Amino acid sequence: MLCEPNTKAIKVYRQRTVVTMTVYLVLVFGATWAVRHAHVKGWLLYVCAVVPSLAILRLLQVVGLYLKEETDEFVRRQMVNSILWGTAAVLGLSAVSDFLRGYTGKGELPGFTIFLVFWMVFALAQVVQQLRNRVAADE
Amino acid sequence: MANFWKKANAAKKRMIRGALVALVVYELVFGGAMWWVSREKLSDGGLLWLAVLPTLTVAAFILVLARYLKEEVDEFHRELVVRCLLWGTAAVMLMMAFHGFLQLFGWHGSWPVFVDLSAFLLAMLTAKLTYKVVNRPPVEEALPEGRA
Repeated sequence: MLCEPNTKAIKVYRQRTVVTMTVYLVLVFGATWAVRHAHVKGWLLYVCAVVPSLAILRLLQVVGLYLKEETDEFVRRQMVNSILWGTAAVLGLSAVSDFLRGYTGKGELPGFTIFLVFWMVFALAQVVQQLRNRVAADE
Repeated sequence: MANFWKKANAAKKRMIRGALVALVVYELVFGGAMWWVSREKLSDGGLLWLAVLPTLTVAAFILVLARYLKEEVDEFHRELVVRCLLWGTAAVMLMMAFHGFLQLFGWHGSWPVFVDLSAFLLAMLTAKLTYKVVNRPPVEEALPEGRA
């Protein structure tokens, strides 16, 4: 059983994340539909690429808001650690890809790899920290 | 500058020193790797190792940040660094997502190398400077008593 924190701030954080992810999915499908079926071209294509990207920015703002609102120092510390792990993974991966591209012109990452890697490492770091902080059964 | 260094606590000084060392090592390793690649014809495995080497200095930079966050006793300063880190990460994610969507919609180009790393550092630096300006105390608070 994971030692999952259940503070007021984390409940608000979960709600905001679910809303943002829903909006993100709607925007992604909407933008893709517009490009494929309404044959959007020119500067509107850039708008279609920017709008769903803003939802990703909102996801990080949700994390920032949570860090501001969380009163439990220990839980906040865990979140900061997870962000650090996610950022390290993203920068490490994109640096390897950039250096390979610099040396050979090849090695570009598929689209959205960075996004997926950040949130996967972030989630993994959260789970690992929660597992490490489990209380013993008799406690 | 000297005043800033005098006012900085031990954790901050260690972070600045660590970040500077990481930056210098990065430049040296990167320069050396580029020089080697231009002179020798390396195999794919060799190239991968040469790409991983300078990346380790990027990881070292994140470690320096993590150590600072652990050692800093001033909650306000720690909070500022976390916010700057979030801005940096947000900039990278935004750029990569925008690039991903452009490719999804049929764009075949690719961005110049190191755009993401530059975006991260630039966003962190901008956030740091912005917070510094925003959090400046008014003149009457900054001056010692009786000198306003």
